[in-house]
Amino acid sequence: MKIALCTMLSLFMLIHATIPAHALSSRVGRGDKITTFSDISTTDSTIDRSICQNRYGKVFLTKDHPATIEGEQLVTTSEGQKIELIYQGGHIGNGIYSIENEYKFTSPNNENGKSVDLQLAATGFIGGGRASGVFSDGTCTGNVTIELITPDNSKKTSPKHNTDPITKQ
Amino acid sequence: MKTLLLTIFSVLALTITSTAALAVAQRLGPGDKTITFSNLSMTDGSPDDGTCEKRYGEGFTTKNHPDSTNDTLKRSTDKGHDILVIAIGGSVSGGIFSIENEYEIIFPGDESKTPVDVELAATGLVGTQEASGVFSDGTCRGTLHIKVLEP
Repeated sequence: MKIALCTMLSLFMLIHATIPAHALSSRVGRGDKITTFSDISTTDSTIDRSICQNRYGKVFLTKDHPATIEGEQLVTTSEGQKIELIYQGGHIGNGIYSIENEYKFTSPNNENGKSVDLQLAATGFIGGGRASGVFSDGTCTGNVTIELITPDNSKKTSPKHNTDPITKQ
Repeated sequence: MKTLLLTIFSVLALTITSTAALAVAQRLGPGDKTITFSNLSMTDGSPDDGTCEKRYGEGFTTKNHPDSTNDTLKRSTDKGHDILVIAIGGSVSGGIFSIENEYEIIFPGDESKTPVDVELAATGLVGTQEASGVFSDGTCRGTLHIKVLEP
């Protein structure tokens, strides 16, 4: 009985873990992306606005980190931010999707390399190559747009993705 | 042992439902909302065959439904839609929120009164009383904007 339960739970967890990983790659799409933050404000009026400007004032281009294991767990940017995906969530519907991700975000130029927890919630059309939504790190909030600029070229470096039918857009 | 497990489950379920209910209220809040649609197309991205414009070409303002109860949450609109809320989801955290809801909508122009399953995903900043996102009903998709009307 216990074994059956354990097997079921393991199977369930496996399915739970693998389906989203595949399905989620059909959202914005694989490849380099431009991330733009706008309408940046502070969650509390006592916070110095320049903190948020420093963190999110500049548009940046994300690239898969050379050390990344699977997909986009680690990302570097054109402006030197370090981004680590720590939670991936959201839904895929009929032609639409939502993203609810959380990242460890380290700004290049300040705060002694201290990272912040960046939450992102965004929506988009499947195949549209673009998502827009909102972000918050507890100190700064605002709108965010993520746009895919280069089509999937990760296949060259990672043969594993060749078998993934969902990555083709 | 079984009792303990059940108790833990019940407490967990209670915590999940009550925090969700509290948090959900921080999103758009109660009240009538104006919903506008744009970028209409078929769900695969091909041009609208006319169905979508007919269904979503005009925005609407939601209002209370006379048949709405605690068990069946219904909304109606100024254009005569019959909306049944079948799922409410999403999250609130750090000043941002997401909405992931599902509805069965009977459109005002539909003589056969066939309910259409509509999924909605939208995001917003807590306190702004606005959200934007996307929707799909299996035939049509598009972007949408929701704004809470001043009471």
